[in-house]
Amino acid sequence: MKRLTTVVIGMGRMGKMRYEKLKRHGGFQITGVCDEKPENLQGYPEPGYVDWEECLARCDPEVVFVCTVNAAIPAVVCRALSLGKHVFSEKPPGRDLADAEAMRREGERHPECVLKFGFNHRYHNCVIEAKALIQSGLIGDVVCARGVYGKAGSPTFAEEWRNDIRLSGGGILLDQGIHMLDLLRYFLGEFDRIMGRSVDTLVWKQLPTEDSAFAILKTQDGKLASLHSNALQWRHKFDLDIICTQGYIALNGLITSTNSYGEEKMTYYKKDLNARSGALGKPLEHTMCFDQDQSWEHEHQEFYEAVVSGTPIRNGTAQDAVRVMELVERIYGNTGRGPAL
Amino acid sequence: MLRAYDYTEYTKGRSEIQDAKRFNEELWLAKTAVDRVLQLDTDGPARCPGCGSSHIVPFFVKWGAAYLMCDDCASVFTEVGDAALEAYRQDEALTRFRSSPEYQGEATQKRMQSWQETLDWIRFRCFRHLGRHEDLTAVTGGDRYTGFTELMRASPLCRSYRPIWEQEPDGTADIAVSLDLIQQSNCPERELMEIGRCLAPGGLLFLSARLGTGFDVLVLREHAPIYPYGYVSLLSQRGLEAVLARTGFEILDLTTPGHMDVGYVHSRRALIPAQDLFVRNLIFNSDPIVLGEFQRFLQKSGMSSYAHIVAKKVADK
Ligand SMILES: NC(=O)c1ccc[n+]([C@@H]2O[C@H](COP(=O)([O-])OP(=O)(O)OC[C@H]3O[C@@H](n4cnc5c(N)ncnc54)[C@H](O)[C@@H]3O)[C@@H](O)[C@H]2O)c1
Ligand SMILES: [Zn+2]
Repeated sequence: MKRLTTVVIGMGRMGKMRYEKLKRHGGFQITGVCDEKPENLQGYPEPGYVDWEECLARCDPEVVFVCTVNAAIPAVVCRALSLGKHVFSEKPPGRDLADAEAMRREGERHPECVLKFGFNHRYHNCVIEAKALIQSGLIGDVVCARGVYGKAGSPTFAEEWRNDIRLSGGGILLDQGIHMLDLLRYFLGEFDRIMGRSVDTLVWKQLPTEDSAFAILKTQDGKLASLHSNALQWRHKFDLDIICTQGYIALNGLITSTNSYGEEKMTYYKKDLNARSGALGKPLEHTMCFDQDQSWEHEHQEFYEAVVSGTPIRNGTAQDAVRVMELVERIYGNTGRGPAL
Repeated sequence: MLRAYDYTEYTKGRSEIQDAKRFNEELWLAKTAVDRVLQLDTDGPARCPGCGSSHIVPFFVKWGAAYLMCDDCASVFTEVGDAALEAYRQDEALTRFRSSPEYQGEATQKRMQSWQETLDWIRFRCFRHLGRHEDLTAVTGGDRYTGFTELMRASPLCRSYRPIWEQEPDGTADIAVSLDLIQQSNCPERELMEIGRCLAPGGLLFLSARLGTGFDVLVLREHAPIYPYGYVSLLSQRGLEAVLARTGFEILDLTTPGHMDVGYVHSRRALIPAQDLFVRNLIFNSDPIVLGEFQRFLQKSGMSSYAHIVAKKVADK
């Protein structure tokens, strides 16, 4: 197995987690770790750097994983690309659309480099199964979808960098809702209209960012989606309903490291107006339950194959990043809670 | 490996997939055949057909045939040699009964919906694991019902659908179907080897089987709806995993979508052993909602007595 020299920049929660997964993958040879807080580098055998530019210069790796706060992402990504490195970056792709576009442009200037963004939800088992079921055609065409992604918040929620607009760029919509937006695009296609939206701070009044974002989106061919991204669910929640011409899919719960989003399940059934499979209005229903989250492994593997074998990136392309950031910006509009349009 | 359960409240009385009179007639013919076969030497090797262990304990006796349980993997089986089993399978009265147009016609009428669902399952999982679900070269280990064979042949899923003994050359089939077959075998390993031989590397096996670890079997024992020699090897989930691994398969999905365990036990509740206090209390005193929840729990936890497996033929080393 070819081993790619790799550095991880930003060794917070995500950086540490990816570091472990990359080691287990076997195809990444970590040659340096970087975090502006030196305490986050303790206990790692690789050389540690507090300055990412020094890390890139000294380690001269083939691959750069960027797991910093949102504000630092574009500069690191663009520099790494300009040095000819393959780059994997966390979502969101920067703080705003301009950031995402800058990274895409830099990527286009270096077609020899792989650039991928961490929309890992596409690799959750429930999403993989739902996508396969829809593509199989067995339940017809997607018509509309409803996505709810909510967080409980925490005692220190207000102090987190995620709610410091200068570092994050926006609130819960940009931080977590972006995954649901990405999935809605993945299942329904490109949205060209925002039919309605409301971005508010309903409960966490001390925050400059929103704690709730509603939006209704429409694709050019008339598919509809609704989104509620929020930090006032008081319990973690992930629900996505997809209605098709010949059936229905519900994704409920998501396996995560904290197991706080509930068991990950996909329920589906076929339209059965003649009540052949069950009673009218209560057709035969299938539920798949998943007890593993391999999303990170799948995500790293796709990136690895792209670097080693030149296969195109399928999920989390620079185009995906720009498109989803366009939606984010349009939902924020001029509310002042996220990037201004 | 995927865990899953299927759920519906079968409001349409799907347990009556066979007319009671015809079912009793079939049972009587089977028993007569078994009586004849028992005169022959029925001893097979006293090894677990699942994990191969020789740690075997008696479980129950039905129609004069002893059912045993593997102490290691909990598979249930009855010993019967090849010749005796072949004699049972070739029993003239039983074969004639089952191939009669009335029997087959009734099956088509009553089972078509569940066959359609089986076909949907196969198509969905083909698409998921092979990326295509049309125009595949398919083989079957043998179908009991001609209606099902016709359904498969007419489906866009299959370019061809042949019994394994007609598929040539070896290693060319995209998918293989073995529905409710290995439980009728005294050597599931041999059956799976035969099927595996037809499959191309990476090809998929769709297997359904009665499990010995199901709720109805463990509670009702000889009163469970199983009988010699229609049910010879009732493997446990572990037994199935072991035999599939030995025959060169990697399990992709293993689900236990059986929905009849609780219904079987409920309809035979007077036969629940007196010392099974918990089960008696559950079955006698629960309302349909609780019983439905319990069946759902069995399905989800791998404890229903019916398994669906999708397994991939691993490339020959
Ligand atoms: N894919 C997902 O599901 C997912 C989940 C959580 C977080 N994330 C993303 O991962 C990123 C990191 O989030 P986190 O939860 O790990 O946050 P975190 O606060 O735990 O980690 C961020 C780390 O980056 C470091 N850092 C910040 N600026 C830096 C710079 N200029 N140079 C070097 N290090 C710098 C910080 O010191 C901190 O240790 C964010 O962009 C976030 O949106 C993605
Ligand atoms: Zn055994």
